Amino acid sequence: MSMQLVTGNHAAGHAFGLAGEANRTARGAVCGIYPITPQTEIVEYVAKFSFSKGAVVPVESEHSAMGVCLGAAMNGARSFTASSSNGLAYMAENVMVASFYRLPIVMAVVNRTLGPPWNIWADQGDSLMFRDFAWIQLYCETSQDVADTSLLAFRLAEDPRIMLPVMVCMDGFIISHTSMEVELAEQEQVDRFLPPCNVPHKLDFDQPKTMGGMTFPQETVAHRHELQEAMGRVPAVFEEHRERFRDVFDRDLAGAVEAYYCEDADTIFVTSGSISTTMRDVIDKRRERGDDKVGMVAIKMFRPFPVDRIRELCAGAKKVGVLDRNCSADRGGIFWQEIRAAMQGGGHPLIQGYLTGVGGCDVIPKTVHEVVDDLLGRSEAGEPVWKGV
Amino acid sequence: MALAADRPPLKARDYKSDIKPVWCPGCGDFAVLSAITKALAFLERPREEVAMITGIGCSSRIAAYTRVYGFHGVHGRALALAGGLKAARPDLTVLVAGGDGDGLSIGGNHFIHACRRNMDMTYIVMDNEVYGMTKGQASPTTDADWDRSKLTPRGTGIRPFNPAALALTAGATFIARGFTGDPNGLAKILVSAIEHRGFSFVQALSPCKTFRPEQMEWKKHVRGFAQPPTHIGALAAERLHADDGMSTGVIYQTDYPAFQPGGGEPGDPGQFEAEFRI
Ligand SMILES: Cc1ncc(C[n+]2csc(CCOP(=O)(O)OP(=O)(O)O)c2C)c(N)n1
Ligand code: SF4
Repeated sequence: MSMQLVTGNHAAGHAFGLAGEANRTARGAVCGIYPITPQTEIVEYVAKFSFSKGAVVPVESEHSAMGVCLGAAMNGARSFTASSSNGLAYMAENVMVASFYRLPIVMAVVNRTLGPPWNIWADQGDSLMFRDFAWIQLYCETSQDVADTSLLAFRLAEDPRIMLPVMVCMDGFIISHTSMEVELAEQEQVDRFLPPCNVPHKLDFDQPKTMGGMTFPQETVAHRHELQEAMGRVPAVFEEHRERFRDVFDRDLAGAVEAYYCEDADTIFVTSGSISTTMRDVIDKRRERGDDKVGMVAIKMFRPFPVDRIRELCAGAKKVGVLDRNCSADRGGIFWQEIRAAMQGGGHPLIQGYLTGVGGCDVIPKTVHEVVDDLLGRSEAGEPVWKGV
Repeated sequence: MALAADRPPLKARDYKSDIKPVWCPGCGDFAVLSAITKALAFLERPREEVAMITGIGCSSRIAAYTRVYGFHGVHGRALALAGGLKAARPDLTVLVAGGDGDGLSIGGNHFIHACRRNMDMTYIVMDNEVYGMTKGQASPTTDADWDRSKLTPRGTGIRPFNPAALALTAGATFIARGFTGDPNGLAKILVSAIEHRGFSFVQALSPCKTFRPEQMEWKKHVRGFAQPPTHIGALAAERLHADDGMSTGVIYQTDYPAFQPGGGEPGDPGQFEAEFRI
């Protein structure tokens, strides 16, 4: 294992390449590819690989890129792709097919503002539009997190108890294009970490079957119920595989929810993606400087939403501030909405939303200090506070 | 407001906006912009009667660089949108422009259906045989063995489309090819294309200096078609088949009624509702 200076895109491409190759003893690897900024480097990286078994398939659109993954995954190939922004919007129909067919596809999403008007900077509104599509969604904080989470994503997706596709998300440019120190995995380790991909309902000569036929409401409701149940199993299975990750790679993989100074904090900030790094820094400064009892809950796993763990961590807090790099017009930040729903029930704290970084606005330490000051000075919650407008 | 007829005639530059194009120096797209504005000036089209609809790509930015109604749409969907505009405003001169990726890759389906639908509009594909904006990937007009894209380091291995031949098979009623090395020739072609009643397709060979520098040699190979335009499809097909893709001029033009949705007697909702009366 070697330490290198690589970007988030490089980290994802590397992980995908090794994960694909690791399935050579089973039904190989297939990656459908189509370019879009700021994701293109990921698929360019994957295109460098010639898999011992499998193929990289350049196609004419994102809809087809996911289509290629669907077809390959139905045959039991380890399948993956990457996209961003409007590329995801165009892919949407097949994105849903992946989870509804229970295909363990992994997709890297480099979060980018949806257009028009056209803007290539980070905003999570693209992947969050799929929050009700039965995909597992993991938001990474650093390039190392991208490298590790991308590998774990295959293990989680392909676990027979789960069989759901996974999005591995990172903030456009801030993570995708910034070089950081990363310990990249070796093929031999990935071979040990990832068992051969086995899709139980893959094409089988002895048992021909048709997928996706017409169903009646009773069958459909059973299908949706199964999706709900599978999602419910994810947090525990994720932890199991994190243990296994530690065994193979001899280091920790950032958890589904990371707590920072939550034990004694009376004011907790909920963050995701690269904003968590800035918040950690600001909390350090506040703690050094004086008696602000501030803490952070950094969320990686957005779907399923780790309600129990978040409630546990925020149990002692009087106030919770949620920072969102996205905005659902009318309802405000999507993480804020989820936290409000998660915390409902007796004696919950004051919960205030902050729209930070929407449309790619920079979230610098000064922005975060302002958010912290606002919440510390607040006695009641109000409408979400916009930063950058 | 002064009536169009009372106003002094517009010059080509009056159709250009104040925004400085962000194209690379030497990009062919500059010449497409100048050919379009020259053609509009020649035809004396009032700016408010012209709409320019584009998709996404370096080439599609052209909408912002003109001073007519502009819409910079989503990737590959310019033609669908233009169809809606033309249905709502049949009086407008509708120009649609974009790259070979936008129009033939992600938007390929709209292209063949727009040819078939034959609405009165002009579609300009600025063909540089590459996705310029996303930094140089192969498009459907890229040669199978072009191996300088990181996405297809061994070449695509796929035969390219011939856009003019595709338009012919799909039912376009005006088909031409121009070259940005000859902006006046391209402007003349655009004049005929805009005057044509029906769907006119213009493939503008427009080099990408940055990702296909070898295209700067195109000027040595481009020539005019030896024969005048034909209205016979089979003949046009034969000529396109024999050509290496570097001959320019109007290839095919036929007279077929342009499609305009709507018209006829308005329906009677009362009669329809009567069926539901209880
Ligand atoms: C749905 C969607 N997918 C992908 C992209 C990324 N993208 C932007 S421009 C482009 C290709 C442009 O190529 P072309 O149309 O040939 O135009 P050029 O830049 O060469 O002028 C792509 C793939 C996008 N904007 N939207
Ligand atoms: S990248 Fe190519 S197509 Fe785009 S502006 Fe530059 S020269 Fe023109």
